[in-house]
Parts: sequence; C-alpha cells; structure tokens
Amino acid sequence: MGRQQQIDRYVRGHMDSGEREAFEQELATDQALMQKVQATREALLLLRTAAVQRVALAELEKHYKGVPYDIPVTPLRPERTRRLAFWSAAASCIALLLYFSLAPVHLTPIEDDLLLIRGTETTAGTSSIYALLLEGQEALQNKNYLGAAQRFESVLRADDLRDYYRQAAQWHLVLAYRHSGQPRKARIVMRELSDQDHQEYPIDFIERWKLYVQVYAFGWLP
Amino acid sequence: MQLYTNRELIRDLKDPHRADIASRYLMQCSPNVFDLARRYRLSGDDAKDLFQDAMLAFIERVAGDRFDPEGSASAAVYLYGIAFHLLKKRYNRRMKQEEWEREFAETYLVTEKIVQNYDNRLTAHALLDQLGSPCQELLTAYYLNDREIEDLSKDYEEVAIGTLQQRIRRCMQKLKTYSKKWADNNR
Repeated sequence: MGRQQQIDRYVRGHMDSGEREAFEQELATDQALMQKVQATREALLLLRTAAVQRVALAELEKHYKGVPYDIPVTPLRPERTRRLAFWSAAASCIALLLYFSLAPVHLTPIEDDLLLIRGTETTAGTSSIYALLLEGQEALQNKNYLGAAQRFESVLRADDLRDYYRQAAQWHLVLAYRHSGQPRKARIVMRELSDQDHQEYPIDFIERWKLYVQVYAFGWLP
Repeated sequence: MQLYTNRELIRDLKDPHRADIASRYLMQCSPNVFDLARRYRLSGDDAKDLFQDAMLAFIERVAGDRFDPEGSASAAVYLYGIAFHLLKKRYNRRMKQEEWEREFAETYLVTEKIVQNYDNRLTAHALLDQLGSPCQELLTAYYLNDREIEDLSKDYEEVAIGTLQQRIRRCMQKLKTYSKKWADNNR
C-alpha cells in the first residue's frame, strides 16, 4: 500500500485500532510524514468548509426566495434624525432642570468641633454660638425655616468665626431663605459665598447646583 | 430564536451533512444585520450580500476554531460583529475609492484590483471553485461522503480504479496548493 493511500485511510478514519496506533507511532517520529498528514488535513478542512458554505448559500437562497423578502431599506431621513436628536437633548435638559429644581438639597452635617473661634478655647460665648448653629440645623430638619434663618443670622453676627462654620452657616442660611420664601436674601448670601476663594465647608457638586438652580431660576417655587 | 447551543452549532457547521439546519439557525440573525445595513443606508441587495458574506466568514471562523463556544459572545453577537466589521471595511474602502477616483484615475485601477483580491480571498468556496467541478465532485465523494473507490469507479463509467486513484491524487495536490493559500489568507 502506497504512503498516500495510508494517509488517506488514516484521515478518513478507515484504519482499525492496531493499524492506527502503529501509524501514529510512525507519525511521532517521521517529520516528513507528519507534514504530509497535516497538509492533507488542511486540504480536507478547506474542502469541508467550502461544502458547508455551499449548503449555507443554498439555504440562504431558498430563504430569500421562499419568503417574499423585501428588506425595508428605507434610509433614515436626516431631518428626522436631527429632530429626534434635538428633542432628546431638550427632554434631557428639562429632566435635569426638573431634578435640580425639585430634588431636596442635602447639606453636609456640621462637624462636632467646639473650636468655633480661631485660636481660642471653648468659652460660654462660643458654645452658645455652636448651640445656635446646631439648633438652626435642627430647625431646618424640622422644616421650621424662619426659625432656622434667625439662628443662622445670629451665628453669622459673631466676630472671627472660623471659615468652616461661617460657610456652613451661610449654606444653611441659603437653604432656610429658599424655603421660607426669601429668594432675594438667599441670592445675596449665595453671592457672598461665591466671592470666597477657599471653601472650607465641603458641599457636594450636585447639591451646590441644586441650590443654585433653586435660588436663581426657581426661587419663586415653594 | 430556537435553542441551539454554541457547541451544537459548531459541530453542525463543521459537517456539510448537517450544515443546512445550522445555516437556517444563523439566518434568524439576519434581521439584526439588515437593521445595521439600513443604518448605513445600504440597498436591499447590498444588505443581503452583507449578511451572506458575514455568514460565510462566520463559517470559516468556526472551521478555523476561532469562535470560542465558551466565550462571552453568542453566535448571533459574533455574526453581528463580523457583519459590522465587514461593513466598516467596505464603507472605508468605498470612501477611499471615491477619493482616489476623484484625484488619481490611474491609481484607482490598481486599487480596484487590490479590492478584487481582497474579496476573492474571503471565502473557501470561492477559492475551491478554481479547482474545477470534476475535481470537486470527486474529492467530495471520496473524502466527505466517504465513498469507496470501487463504487466511484462504477459511477465514473467503469474507469479503472488505478486511474481514479491517480485522479484523486492529482486533485488532492491541487487542493493542497489552494489550502495553503487559504491558510495564508486566514492567518
């Protein structure tokens, strides 16, 4: 039996187990034979793939013929696409604006630090300011906005207040003014806050924008 | 879409005798490819061509074990990805062609040839067509349909077995040259 015939029998799976084992042993040692088998395998892979592709093409043709197949290739009209993009953008802006104007503002709770006044230890005076600050914060939580505003105004009257507490009181005061229907005052305090170079009191970016929108654009809202 | 695991699909796409069902399964992905074609403003015929080419390319990837059945992409997603890349390539090529056509008519002729080569190298069946149908039929009957040489001899009007073996060998030699080309293209 010729070598090629042997290879054929091997790749077609026609060898019995003994013959196959012997051939595989030979394959392991004979590099040239291995290359021939490999080349035959690759050729058969091409043959098989081409056969599969032909079957697929025949099926595809049947599929296209069998069904009254008309692909709706109506191109999207550019003006329609533009209009769609415009309205999507507009809807997103409105949704964002609504969120900013209606969502409640959450300010960072004031730190529990009794050194309100720079460089001095706690005294009766400073502790009363601190108490006012906390009372204001509590009043805000209880929706007593006028009471909260009064307390924060009192806090801000104190001299040499640390920046952190001054700014905390100012942000809370803005919120109190905004809810007690005093947008003009809220805007004044807001302007003072934006004039300051360094922000000691941390306020979240989103919360800050909520306050801006609520005070400047929708100050008339309850 | 009917249930068909990736492994079953691969098994059937490697076997010409079962490829019809697998092809029909793949055809269920055609609406997605047509949607894609529509977005790129392709005509109906171009969309059909795109799906056909994507399917043929998918079959070649399966044959070359380049589609991982355990991978994250399902067959539908993989096929869609192929269609998308084909579309992008063709779109970019068309843009370049149009540009060259406008500027250098002579260069265009050269590029057209390159483009043809690119298209020709894509499919196994297109490559095999160059082998000629007698050879294809003989090799298919002998290797894929597993017919015995004696049976084939009867089909071929009592051609001597030795002659038939010679023919098979010659056809196989030719096929090997094409398979080398095919492997180089797909590498």
